[in-house]
Amino acid sequence: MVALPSSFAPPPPSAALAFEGVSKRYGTVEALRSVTFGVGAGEVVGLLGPNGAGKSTAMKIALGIVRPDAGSVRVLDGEIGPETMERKRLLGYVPENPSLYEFLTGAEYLDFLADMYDLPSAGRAERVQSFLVALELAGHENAMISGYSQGMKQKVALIGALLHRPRLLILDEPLNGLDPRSARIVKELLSSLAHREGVGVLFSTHVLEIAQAICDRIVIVHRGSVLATGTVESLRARAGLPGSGLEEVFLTLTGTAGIGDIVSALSH
Amino acid sequence: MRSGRASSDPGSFFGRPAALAFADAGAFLLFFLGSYFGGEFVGSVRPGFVGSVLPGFLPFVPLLGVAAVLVGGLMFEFAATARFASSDAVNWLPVTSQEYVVASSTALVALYSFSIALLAGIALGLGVVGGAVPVALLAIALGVAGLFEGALLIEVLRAVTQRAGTLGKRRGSATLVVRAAGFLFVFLAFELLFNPVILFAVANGLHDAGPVGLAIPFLWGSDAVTAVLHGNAPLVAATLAGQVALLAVTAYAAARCRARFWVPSGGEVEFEPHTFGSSHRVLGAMGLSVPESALVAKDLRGLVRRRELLPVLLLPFVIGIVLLAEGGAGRATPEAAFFTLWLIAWVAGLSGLILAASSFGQERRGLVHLYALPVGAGSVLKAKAVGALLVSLPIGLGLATAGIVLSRPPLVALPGAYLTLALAVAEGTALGLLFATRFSDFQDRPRPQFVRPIPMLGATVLQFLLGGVTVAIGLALALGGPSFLLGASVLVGATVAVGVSLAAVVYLIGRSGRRMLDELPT
Repeated sequence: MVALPSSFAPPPPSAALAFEGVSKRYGTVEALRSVTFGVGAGEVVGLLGPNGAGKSTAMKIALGIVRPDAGSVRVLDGEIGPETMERKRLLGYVPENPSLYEFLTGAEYLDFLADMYDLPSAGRAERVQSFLVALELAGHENAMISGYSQGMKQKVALIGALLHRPRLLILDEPLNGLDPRSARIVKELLSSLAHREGVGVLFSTHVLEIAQAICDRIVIVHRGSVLATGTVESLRARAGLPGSGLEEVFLTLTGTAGIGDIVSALSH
Repeated sequence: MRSGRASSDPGSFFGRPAALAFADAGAFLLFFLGSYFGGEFVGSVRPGFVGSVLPGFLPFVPLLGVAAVLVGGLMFEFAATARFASSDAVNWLPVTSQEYVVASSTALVALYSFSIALLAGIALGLGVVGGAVPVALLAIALGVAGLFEGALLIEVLRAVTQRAGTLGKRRGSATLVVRAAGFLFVFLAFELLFNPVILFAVANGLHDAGPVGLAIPFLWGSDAVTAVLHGNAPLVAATLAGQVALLAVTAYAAARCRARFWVPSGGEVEFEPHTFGSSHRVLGAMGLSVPESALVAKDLRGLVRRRELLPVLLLPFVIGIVLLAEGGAGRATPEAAFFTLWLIAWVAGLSGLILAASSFGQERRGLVHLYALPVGAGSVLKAKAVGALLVSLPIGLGLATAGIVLSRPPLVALPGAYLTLALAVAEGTALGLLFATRFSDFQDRPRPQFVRPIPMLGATVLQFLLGGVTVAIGLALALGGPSFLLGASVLVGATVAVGVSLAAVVYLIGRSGRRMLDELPT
């Protein structure tokens, strides 16, 4: 693993999300160790890291559903917690494995979410319909979600996160299972929401090409700590790999580049 | 396969198959010793008594074998989620349908063998005392065969219904209504047919009316025991051969059905176009906010649409109807009215308890995602309570009306009786919520349990005691204090005790509920 200085850029001035020295421990496992990073309003930040690095824990802390052991978390310039309802109304979340209510139809589920966010009834159907059409779900909305494919469920989860016009989007592997066209639409949509509407987007993915394509900044976490943060170019420079792709930079920074021996051993 | 059905933590002793064998052996030994020494004692006081009991009891053993698996299997295996059935690893592993059926039915038998272990202990203990050891051993062997018959029948039902439940593209409402009605019919039919009290009456009846029992294949095991007791060798041979043939036919049918309907596919169930916008006027009128109303409406939909939740909905119906069928009819005395309504009110409270206790567990992993939404712990608790009450109150009122028709209490007592019943439902619901906040089981598994079984057993006992006292007081007051009830000072004391208990329950619920959101996701 490459040792890096632990100086990180401070969160942008109008931060949608700011983590400062956040730690979280589950029993003997240190899920997060004094993590500091931020997401600015109108910025798409990619949260990258190997499996078990602490990405999902960080996201759940940002949502106020997991309480950190130490450090402070500011969401849209305020505290976040189980009872901060007004702030929660400004968040949109797509979990890594969306656990939708599969006994509801797509339309019923989205209407349920709209009720939970207390959205006005007027215009609700039209807004849902526009998303359904864009993501090619129109015509399936009255079928029970249990019959949907993985990609269709992911689309419903995405629509559910966007329906109430959130100011901060927290997306854990949002493009999982999406077909290329829908993935492209979502990427463009996220970029547009951030850069035109000023929505902050925290985005985790294992597909590094996607992160490279749409993220303004990258935060790499490994074993609960932030290894590096910055633009793709600055990370390349820090890893000493100018001109490389994000994959090489990521593997070098996380110390997981030497996989040749493993592949060779598994091949026999 | 066994591990997938284990109800406890697989890492603990209670999650291992050895725990079942240990429990069976313990039950067998305990009941063997109890019945042996008890039989010896009774025999010394009333010579010949044990010998007179055996002809009625031993034929009951094979019957209970079938009943134990069918009733338990219907409740927990039959209603397992199709999602798991379709993605089960066994579907793509090199396993034949015969191997699957043998393994699955053996697992079922192991799960529900406790009742036979218990009865085997009694049968052998009494057999030793009564000098009927060979017949007792035959009854036990046929009881085990009965377990396999029941398990194989469940295999047939499971394979067929999983397929039937996922065929084609169907209109949702009609499909779901038909499915719920089908479940209710099958549940009620099997629960009534294989109810232990009714079975015991059948077994006793066989003692005198053998030919009638011969027409029913699942009674052949009991017929064989009865024939041995009567010394009817040809009938013994015929019924034992029939029993073996029945096992073979059921096993063949189970393997064929498994081969035919191997993997249930997730068919698309479509509904009428949904009308967007908050339309929970009734719930709103009850004082619920829009998010709370949405939660209640969602849970009510789940109750009729989720196959794994149907037992939760139907269990109180089944218990209530079985209780009404077993007694209460034709006795228009204050005592009969009291006991019938007491049982019904207890079942209604149990309904509230089960629905409320399972209300959080049914959210599964999605509960964490629910926390990400702008809804507080208080609102979730309120919605869960209202959802449970909205279902259990009509069930209770329906059963109470049936009980009133049967037991014919004075008209003046009806308002008090209904009020008592509503109180019992509220009490059961409150207790259920308390246990749900502390002991819910959120795991996704083929046989979901929603709430951890040992605490749920405790909750049921607590509800029986608390609800029993509350209902007794309420009904005693409503019915004008039947003469057999205790004096007024005892009633007042009991009322105070129940009041204090209820206050403690409410306090604990409030405290747990507020802590719940903080603690559960971490």
